Amino acid sequence: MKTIAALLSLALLAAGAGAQNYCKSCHSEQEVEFRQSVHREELGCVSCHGGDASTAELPQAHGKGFRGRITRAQIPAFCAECHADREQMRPYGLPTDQYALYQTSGHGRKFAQGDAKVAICTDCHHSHRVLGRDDPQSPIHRQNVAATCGHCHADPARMAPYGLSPGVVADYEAGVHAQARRQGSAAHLPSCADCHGSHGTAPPGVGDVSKVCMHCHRQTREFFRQSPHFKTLAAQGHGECAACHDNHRIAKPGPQLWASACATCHGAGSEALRTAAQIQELLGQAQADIDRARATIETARQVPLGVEDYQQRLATASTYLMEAGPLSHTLDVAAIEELTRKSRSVAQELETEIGEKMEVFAGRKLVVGLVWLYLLITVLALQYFKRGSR
Amino acid sequence: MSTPKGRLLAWLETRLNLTEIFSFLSNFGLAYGDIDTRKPLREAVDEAFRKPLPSYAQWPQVLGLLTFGLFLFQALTGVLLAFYYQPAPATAYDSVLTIVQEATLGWYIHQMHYWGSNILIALLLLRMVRLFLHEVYRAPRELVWVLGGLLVLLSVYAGISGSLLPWDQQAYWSTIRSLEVLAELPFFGWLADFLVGGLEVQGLTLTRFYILHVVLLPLSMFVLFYLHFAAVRRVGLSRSQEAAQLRPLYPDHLVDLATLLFLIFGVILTLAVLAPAAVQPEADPFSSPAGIHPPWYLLPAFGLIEVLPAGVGGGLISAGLLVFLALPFLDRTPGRRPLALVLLALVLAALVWLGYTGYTLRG
Amino acid sequence: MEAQTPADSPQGRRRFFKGLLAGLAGLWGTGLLASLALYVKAPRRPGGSLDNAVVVGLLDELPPGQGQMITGAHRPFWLLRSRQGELVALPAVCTHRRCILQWDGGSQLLCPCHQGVFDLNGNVLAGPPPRALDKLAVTVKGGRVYVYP
Repeated sequence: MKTIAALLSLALLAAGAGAQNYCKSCHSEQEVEFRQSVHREELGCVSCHGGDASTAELPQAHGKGFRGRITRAQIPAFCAECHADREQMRPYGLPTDQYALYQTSGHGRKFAQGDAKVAICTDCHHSHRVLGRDDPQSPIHRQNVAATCGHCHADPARMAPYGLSPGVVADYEAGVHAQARRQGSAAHLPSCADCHGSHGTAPPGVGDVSKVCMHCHRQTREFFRQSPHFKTLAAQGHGECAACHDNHRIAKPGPQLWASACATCHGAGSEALRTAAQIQELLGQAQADIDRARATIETARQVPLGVEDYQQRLATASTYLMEAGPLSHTLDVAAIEELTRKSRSVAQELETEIGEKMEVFAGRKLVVGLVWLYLLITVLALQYFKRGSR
Repeated sequence: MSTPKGRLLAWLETRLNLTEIFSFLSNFGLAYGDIDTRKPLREAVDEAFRKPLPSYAQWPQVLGLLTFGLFLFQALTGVLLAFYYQPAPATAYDSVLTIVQEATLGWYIHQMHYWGSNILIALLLLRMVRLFLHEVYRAPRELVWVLGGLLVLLSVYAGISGSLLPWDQQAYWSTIRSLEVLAELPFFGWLADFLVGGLEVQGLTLTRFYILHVVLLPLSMFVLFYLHFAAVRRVGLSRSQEAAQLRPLYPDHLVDLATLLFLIFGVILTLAVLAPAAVQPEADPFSSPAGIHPPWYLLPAFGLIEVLPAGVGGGLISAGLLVFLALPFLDRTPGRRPLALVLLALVLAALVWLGYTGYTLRG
Repeated sequence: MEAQTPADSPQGRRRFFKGLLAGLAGLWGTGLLASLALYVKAPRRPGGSLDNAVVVGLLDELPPGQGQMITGAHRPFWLLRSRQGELVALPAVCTHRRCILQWDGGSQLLCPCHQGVFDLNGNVLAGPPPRALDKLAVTVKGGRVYVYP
């Protein structure tokens, strides 16, 4: 059966490619879209829709093997006729598991139950204007994924029947991953598909999204596993990372998170909150020291002092503090304190050294005062001399 | 006469006209009476020291004295800076850092040179305003005015060329602004382009600005000062003084001169320490910092060319400069001072307003 | 006694002020000359445009016990690292007839022309060289070796 389907597809392919295309005399809009598609080299109109492209006259044009509009219910299986066939996809190096994944996904399972409103292939990839992943205009280009998913997932009317929140896209865009990507830094920062999967989009309830965080934040999760939170959160069925950092609206972590996140579960006056306050204090003080040292370096640069060495040493202090971030997931106050202590001591050392050097320059005003004193004595002596000689 | 000094003087007198050499000083406003170069040195010096002369150290003549003193001060500090400065883009900034960070007292010398230049140009402008107010350009003093005007222009150009030399962001980009202003002037623009090797700021610009700033402009200003003093000596001070106010050169005038020089040194040193020029990062031709404008004395011109259409502003500035220089030949009728005062007030107000516009249009 | 000028006569005052002024002027003059001299004397500290340092390379690329002749500067020099890890840089030019010195791999620099021998402090151990070698300043900054030839 598969072989027949394959042969049929190949036949359609051959039929479509290279032949004169009269379809566009009526279907010009679709033809224009198709001209940009990645399918344009190998496929033609008749490859998918059947019919006769060599004439614009009905009923011949819509003659042999004409399928017409392919309905939403038909689309996934239809695309899979080529895209799930390894032999056909081999020349393009494309994977062939998309349809299988789709069928396991939240979208696919609803689709199998007869809901045609969920996402199907053409909703994300478009029907005629199929663009590659690297094309910035493609709806599946990394920068555009959130908007593509948001077509439905940010629409309250569409999400209401499924009980899904339409705020997730806005939350994501407010989060640190989206912000950093907008500012032009790394393209490797995740979009919706990176965490949820693209074809096999399993809803986060099945398999915690927090397990996905460790694809990048590996070290942090290792530290987290060493903490008492790991077992307790798993036992209570809460997500790991999302419990404190949220899943979509991920804020930039800092000392202030220790004040807000812990109180969601721990009661006031508890030992846990005291530990949190300790950690917050350590991280906050180190950050403050580094900020102060940075300002001092800038002041010194203006004096001017040579500050390249100091800037390098400040980078060391910043690195210690940056290491403290993932380490703090262990809740091991002693270990965190060691790192922040190193960071603070480097920053404080810097400030002391620069301060000593700057004191030399504070002497400038004293020098001016002394010069004026001597100058005025000389001027007075000169004037008295002038008067005295009359 | 049989002292060692006396014998040395006698030996020299038979080989050189020492009095003539001494009279050279009078050409620069020091012993500014007439000196008879046929007399032996000792006699000539005594006579010069004792002759009652009007004082230059009183207001308003002191402006002129101060400007020449400042010029000499700039020359001295400039030569000292040149002991370390390297006029090539690759090493210019580093050499300036060496001066301010490592050379003993280098920071002071650098800052005093910077402040000295600002004060010099400000004093020159003040002097021209007071010469205008007191009509010190009427015959036979036309040349005093013209030479003074030329000195203002040359010192402005010295300021522009000097401010490029540190080769930091401020220097580089404000010079580009200054060259924009110069490029707008019909003739001077072409001249600047020709002299400076183009209106783009590059290595050749730095080399030429350096030689202009260190050799050509100081020499030209020196010559103009000489001629300016010669003109003043020929026509005398415009405000004659009572006989009772005349004082001998020694000690009165020399003491006043010394006092003034000490005070101006103190003022410049104070300004240098209280309001030093900030250290900027090295010039980056590929990154324009925000808020760059030309030096303050070019702000009115900058404002004018920004406000008016292309070419019109430059033409106006050139016309204004020509009127400024040729004023003695344009205004030959004494009197009509109220009109002159109104004109001066308008011109000053316009300059201030244009300068403010130029400042806010920066960046 | 009468021939002396009384101290509070005009001439006496004048002489006092003349003396005072001479003293003040002397101090100003000395101060000026001293400032000029201190300023003009070029600082010998590394860094800045006076610094003709040759960046030889990374310290880790010269293991202890090894040495290299560096030819990039205006005169060649030997950069040697002792077994204890200390660096020394010596000119590779003999003080006798300017032949290029060779390093024996140990603690001596040898001149092939007239068999002069130097130790690693630059002192002449044997042969006709009339003067010792002046050691060159070496610093290590950020893992890089800088020599001032």
